Amino acid sequence: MNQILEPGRRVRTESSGMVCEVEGFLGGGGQGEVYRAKAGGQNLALKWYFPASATSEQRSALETLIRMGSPSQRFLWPLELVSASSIKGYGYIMPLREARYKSIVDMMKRRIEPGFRALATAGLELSHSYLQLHAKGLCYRDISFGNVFFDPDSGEVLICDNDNVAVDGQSVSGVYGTPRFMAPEIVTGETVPNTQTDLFSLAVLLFYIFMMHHPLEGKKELAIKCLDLPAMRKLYGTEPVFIFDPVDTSNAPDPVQHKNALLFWGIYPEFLRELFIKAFTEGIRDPQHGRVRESNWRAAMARLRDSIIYCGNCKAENFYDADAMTVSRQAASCWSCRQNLRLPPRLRIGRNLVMLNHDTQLFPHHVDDEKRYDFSQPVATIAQHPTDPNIWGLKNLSSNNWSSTNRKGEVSDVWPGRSVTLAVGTRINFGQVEGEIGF
Amino acid sequence: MVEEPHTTRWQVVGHSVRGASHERSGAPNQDAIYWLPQSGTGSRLILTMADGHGGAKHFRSAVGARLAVETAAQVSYDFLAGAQAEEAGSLSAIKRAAEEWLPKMLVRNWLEAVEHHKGSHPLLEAERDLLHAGDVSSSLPLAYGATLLVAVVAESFILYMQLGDGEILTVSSEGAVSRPLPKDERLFANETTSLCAPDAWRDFRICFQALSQTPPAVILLSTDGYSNSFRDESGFLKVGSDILEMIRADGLSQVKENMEAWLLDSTRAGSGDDITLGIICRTDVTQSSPSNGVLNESDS
Repeated sequence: MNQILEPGRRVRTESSGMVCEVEGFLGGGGQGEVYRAKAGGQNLALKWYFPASATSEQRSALETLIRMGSPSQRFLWPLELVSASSIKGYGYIMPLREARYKSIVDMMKRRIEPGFRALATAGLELSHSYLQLHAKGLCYRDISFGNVFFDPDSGEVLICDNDNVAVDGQSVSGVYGTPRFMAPEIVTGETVPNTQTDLFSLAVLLFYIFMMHHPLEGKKELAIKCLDLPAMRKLYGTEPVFIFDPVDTSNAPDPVQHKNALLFWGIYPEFLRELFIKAFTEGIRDPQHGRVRESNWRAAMARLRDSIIYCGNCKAENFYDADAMTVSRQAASCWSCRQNLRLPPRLRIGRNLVMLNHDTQLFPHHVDDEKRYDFSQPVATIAQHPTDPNIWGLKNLSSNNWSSTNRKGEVSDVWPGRSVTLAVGTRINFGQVEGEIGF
Repeated sequence: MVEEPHTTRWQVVGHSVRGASHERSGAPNQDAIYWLPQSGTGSRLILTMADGHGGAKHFRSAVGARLAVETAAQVSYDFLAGAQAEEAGSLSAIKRAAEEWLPKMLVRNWLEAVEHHKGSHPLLEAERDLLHAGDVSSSLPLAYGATLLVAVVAESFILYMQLGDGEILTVSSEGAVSRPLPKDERLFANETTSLCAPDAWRDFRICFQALSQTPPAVILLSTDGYSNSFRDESGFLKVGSDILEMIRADGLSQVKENMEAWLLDSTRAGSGDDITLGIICRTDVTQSSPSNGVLNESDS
C-alpha cells in the first residue's frame, strides 16, 4: 500500500553489482521503508529512503559506516548501498532480523513477558554493544526502544537503524528521535549528539527495560494536558527530575498511575537502584563526568544476573540483595507471593557472588580474569547427583582440571566432566581464580 | 524529476445509526463519531469513532463513547499543532511521539473526562451496585467502557490508531482495499480491548504512514456492527472499492445523503448492532488523474 518498491522490483548493489530483489514490505518509518529482499541467495533487509531523506549527507554517512564495518554481530549494520536506474534515490542492504527477536515496544504492550534473566542479559548485551560502538569512535545518536530488539527467551539483542550512527564529534545539528530518549542538553539545544549523550539515552533505555517506565515521567508529566513541544522541552530538557530522586521528590511516581515503576523499583537490588540514581541525578547535573559508563552498566548487569534466585513457593525470579539484607538483617520475601525466600548455596569468586540455582552456569567471565564478559561457552553447570537427588554439585564442563578443598582440608581433583559437591566451606581452584561455596 | 510540492485536501462525512436490536430493546445508540475541524474539510483532518460496550456493567457506555471521540479528537488536534511546530524533516520524531505518547494521552484525557462527567452526574445507588466494587473510583471507567478508532491525516503523514474492535480500511485510487493495522489476535467473539481496561494505552494498535507516494483515495472507519453485517470478510472489504466508485460516480455529498438508509438496512438485515461509518476522502478523487505524492520536496 503506497510503497516505494513493489514485490519483484530489482535493484542493484552499488559496489558488488549484485541484483537484489524485493520480496515484501516489512515496515515504514519517518525516513524510509524497509523491505525483505534477496541478493546472492541470501535473505536480507533493504531500506529505501524517502526522497526528502535521500540526501547526499546521508549517502556519505552510509559510505563511511559501510567502510568501517559493524562493531559486532549485534548490529544490523549497513552492508552495501543499493540503487536502481528507474527510481530516484537509494537505499542499503543489511542483515535480516530473525523472527525470534522482538521489539521492546512488544514488551511495553505485554505481548512478550521476558524473565529477569533475559532482561539482565539484554542489559548486558546492550551496554557491551554500545561500548564496542563507542570504542570505534562512533556514536549512535538515536538510542530508543524503537531500534532495539531482543530475544525474550535468551535476552540476546539486535540493534537496528544504524544509519543514524555517526563519527563522534562530527554530528551535524538536527533532531533525532524524540526528546524522551535524548539527553537534556540535546533537548535544550546546547549540544549535538555525542558519546556522552548516548550514555544518557542508554540509561533511559535500561531503566525502561527494567522498570517498564520512563525515568522522568512522574507527577510532572501527569500534569501535562497537552503534548506540545514546550511541555516536552521542560520535562526532558530544562527541568528534568528523576522519579526516584532521593532528594527532590517534585516528580515522584503517582501511586496509581505509576504503580508498575514503583513495584519494579522495589524488586531490584540496591546496587542497580544506586546506579540509576547516579545516572539520573549526577548524570543530569554533570553530563561530562556524572554519567554511568557502559562498562559500569555491563558490570552491574553481569552481577544482576548472578544475583537471581527462585522463590521456593511460587518459583518467581527474585534477586539476592546482600546490601539490603545486611542492613535489615531479615530474610527477604518474594516480591510475587510474599513468602520468605530460602536462599540457595552461593559461590564467592573474588569480589563476585554467584547464586547457585538448579540452572546456574559459570562462564569464562567468572573464572578467568582475562576473559571478563566472555559468556560464549559455559565452563561449569549445576548438576544433580545421579542417584541421590538431594545432593547437588558443580560440574566441570571445561577442558581444564580443577581442584577442590573441603572444610577438613582434603584436596581432590575435579576432572573435566566430574562434579564437586556443593558443601559449605568447599573451595574450588579453577586455575586462574579460587571460589568458595557458602550458604 | 522533482515533484512539485503538493498539498492534498480531504473531506470527511459520517453517520451513526441505532442498532435494530437496540431499537427493539429500547437501548440507546452507544456508538459515537466526531471529527475536527468541524467543517469536515481541510489539508488536516481528524476522524474519531467509538463503540460503547453496552451491557449491564457498562451502563454509561454511550456517554463513554461520546467522551472518547471528543477527547481523542482534541488530543489529536493538539498533537497535530505540536507536530507542525516540529522542525522540517523530523517525521521520525513525530512517528515516535505518536507511538510512545499519544495513546497515554488519549486514555488519560478520556479517564479525566469520565471522572468529570461522574462529578456532574453522580452514580445512583443501583449503578454503584452494578459496578460490584467498594472502590468506585477504580471501577468507574468500566461503566463508561468503549473502543476507539482514530484517523489523523496531515500534509506529510497519516496516523491510524485503534483500541478494541472496529475496522479501518484504506482504498487506493485504483480501488485496492487494505487494512493499515495488523489484526489484534486478542479480539475474538465478543472480547475486545477497551479504554476502560487497566493500562489501556498498552493495547493500542498504531500505524504511522509517511506520505511519500500517492495517499489513499478513501479511508473508512466503522464500528464492528458494520463488518458483522456482512456474511464474510470479502463482502465487507468490497464496500471499500464500492464506496470509491460511488464517490466517483455520484460525488461525496450523494453518498452522505444515502448513508443513513444504507446503514439502517445493514443493521436490520445484518448485525442488529449500532452501526457507524466515517469516510475520509481525498477531494481530488473524482478527477480523472489521481494526485502525485505529497511529500513536501522543499523539506529535503
